[in-house]
Amino acid sequence: MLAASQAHGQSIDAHPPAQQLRIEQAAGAATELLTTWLGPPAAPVVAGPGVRVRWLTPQRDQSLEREAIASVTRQFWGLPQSLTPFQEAAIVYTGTRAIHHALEGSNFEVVRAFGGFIPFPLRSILLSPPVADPRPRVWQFSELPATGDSAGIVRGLQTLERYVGWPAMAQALSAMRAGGRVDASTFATTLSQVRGTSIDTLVQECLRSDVVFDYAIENVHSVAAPGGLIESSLSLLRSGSGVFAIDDQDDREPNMPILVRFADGSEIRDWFDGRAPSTTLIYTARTAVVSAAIDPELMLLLDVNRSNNTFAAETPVRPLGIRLALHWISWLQQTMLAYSALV
Amino acid sequence: MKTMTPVRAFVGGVAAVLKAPMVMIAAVLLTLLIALPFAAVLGSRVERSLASQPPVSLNETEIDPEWWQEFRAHARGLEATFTPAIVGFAAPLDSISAVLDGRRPALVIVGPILLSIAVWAFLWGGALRRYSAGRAIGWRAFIAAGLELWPRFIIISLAAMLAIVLLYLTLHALLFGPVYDFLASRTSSERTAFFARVVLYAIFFAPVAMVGLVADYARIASVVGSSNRLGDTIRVAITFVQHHFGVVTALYLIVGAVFVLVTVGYGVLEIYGGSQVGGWRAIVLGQLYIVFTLAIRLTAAAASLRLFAARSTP
Repeated sequence: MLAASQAHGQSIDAHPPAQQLRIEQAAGAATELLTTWLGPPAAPVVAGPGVRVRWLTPQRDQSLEREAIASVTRQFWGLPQSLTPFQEAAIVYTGTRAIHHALEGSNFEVVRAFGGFIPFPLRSILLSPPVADPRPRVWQFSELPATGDSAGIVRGLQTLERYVGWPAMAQALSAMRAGGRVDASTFATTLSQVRGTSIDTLVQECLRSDVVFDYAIENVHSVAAPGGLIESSLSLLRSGSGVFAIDDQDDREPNMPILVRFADGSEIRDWFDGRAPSTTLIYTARTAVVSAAIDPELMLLLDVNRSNNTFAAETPVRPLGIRLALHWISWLQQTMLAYSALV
Repeated sequence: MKTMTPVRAFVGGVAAVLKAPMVMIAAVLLTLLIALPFAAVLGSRVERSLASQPPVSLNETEIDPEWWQEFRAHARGLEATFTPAIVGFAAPLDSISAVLDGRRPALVIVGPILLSIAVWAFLWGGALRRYSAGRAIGWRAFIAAGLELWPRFIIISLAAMLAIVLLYLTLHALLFGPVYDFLASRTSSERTAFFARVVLYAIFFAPVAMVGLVADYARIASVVGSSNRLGDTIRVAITFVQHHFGVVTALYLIVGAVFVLVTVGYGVLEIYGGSQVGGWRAIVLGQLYIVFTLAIRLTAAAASLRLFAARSTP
């Protein structure tokens, strides 16, 4: 836990009192969360080191809190200075999670102008929705960046979390820390033990930087079948070298999910073998397939091209897309005017 | 006869713009038309990407920050400019900041900027002829003036652009490189560092504004002056700015102050009023701000024309 005396240590003295309070609160909340998830910290955690003294930090600009939580997470893990990509990824993954939890509902996107000194929080872009909210959230913050291979490993850990669930991930991370070895193979073994099924290969595959995941719907074809029915066949392709599949056939959730919708509004949730280079699924129904999506809940965050994961007979125009394009028009007009006004 | 003061010229400029709504409408439409094809391309890419978004419980206008982060991670070219800085007041803030900080525009944006400069070179011909006449001249005369003066105004704009690029490469690089680093290293707080930056903005912007003013008065001299030669009009403009430095600068500052006031007002309105990225309010406010920017630009031209006509007459 974050002791009060430590929180008031020298490291945050340079900050104005209001900022000190915000740093202490964020650091305290993060320490509590990390302790609940991963067990006690490696060494006493101090609030403040690495947190920049900012001139303007309005309440809606939570970069101060994000920096404080990033600092706490690094201390919490107590890993050596020269981190392996997996160790760096573990810090970024847990720190990002802590930021989302500690700052839920108040963490907004901020645009910085004039040399980065003037922040402008964008209330309409909430980066950390309430924890109970199923909405997705950003996977990385600039205050806790993942570099090189570790960025891919962070995505791998987040993919695994969506597959096995957070309680299993937290248990595995906690057990791995307690064991004193923080590396990918130990984590894979620990997660398999926690889950009770062998997912070593899947975990290793997700945490390898040289593996490319890319599942695609190659084509969808519908023809008339006897009895006034329609036969729709979906050709699926595994274009990348990555395989999202598990060895244990007894596992409750087999491999890759696919959601298929028909013209009459009915839908089927199906699974296919993630190992196969290509798969053909055939459905005979009253109406034709109008849309399909591999991995509809976006579990496999490592998929490098999500645009080929979906098929739609007609792409519906979403109002949000139109409005975003209109925002961009305003931005382009203003940029053109700003530059052309000079001449 | 009353002396033409900067305030009187500005008020006259406002009146001239109000009396010529078609010029304003032409400016608004042309600015929108330049941006539309680029927005159509970007919009279709955004729609395509949104179509592969998972069906989570987002309403029709809510943005998924994870989708946006993913989109940006794979964005290239035009898509790379699709950042949170496009939303509401962040857009003008980002544009003004980019100009002052000397941030190079993305290569893909250079095309629209050059196109905008070319279109304005045409627009200035018709607009200045209209303001100079003080009465409606008809769209045929407007287009004829635009076409007649277009080659000359293009050269003026290109010359000004060249001078400004040189200023960015030399003065800006010096001020915001070693000079700023030196000053920032001797400041103890972000606040002091920011004010040092503001002083440097002023130092840099002074010659940039001078180049812009000479270009403006060269265009005006082409319309209301006696000479038809490009070199002469530029000489006339330089002489006019030199001889009437006080009033020219005062008018420039009045226009600048109005622009800053309205921009700050827009920012305050957005901070306290709030606007949703998926809502119409922010889009309408953004377009109103663009209309205002165009109005202030035309007002500045009309006011400068009045000042020039009154002060350059022997």
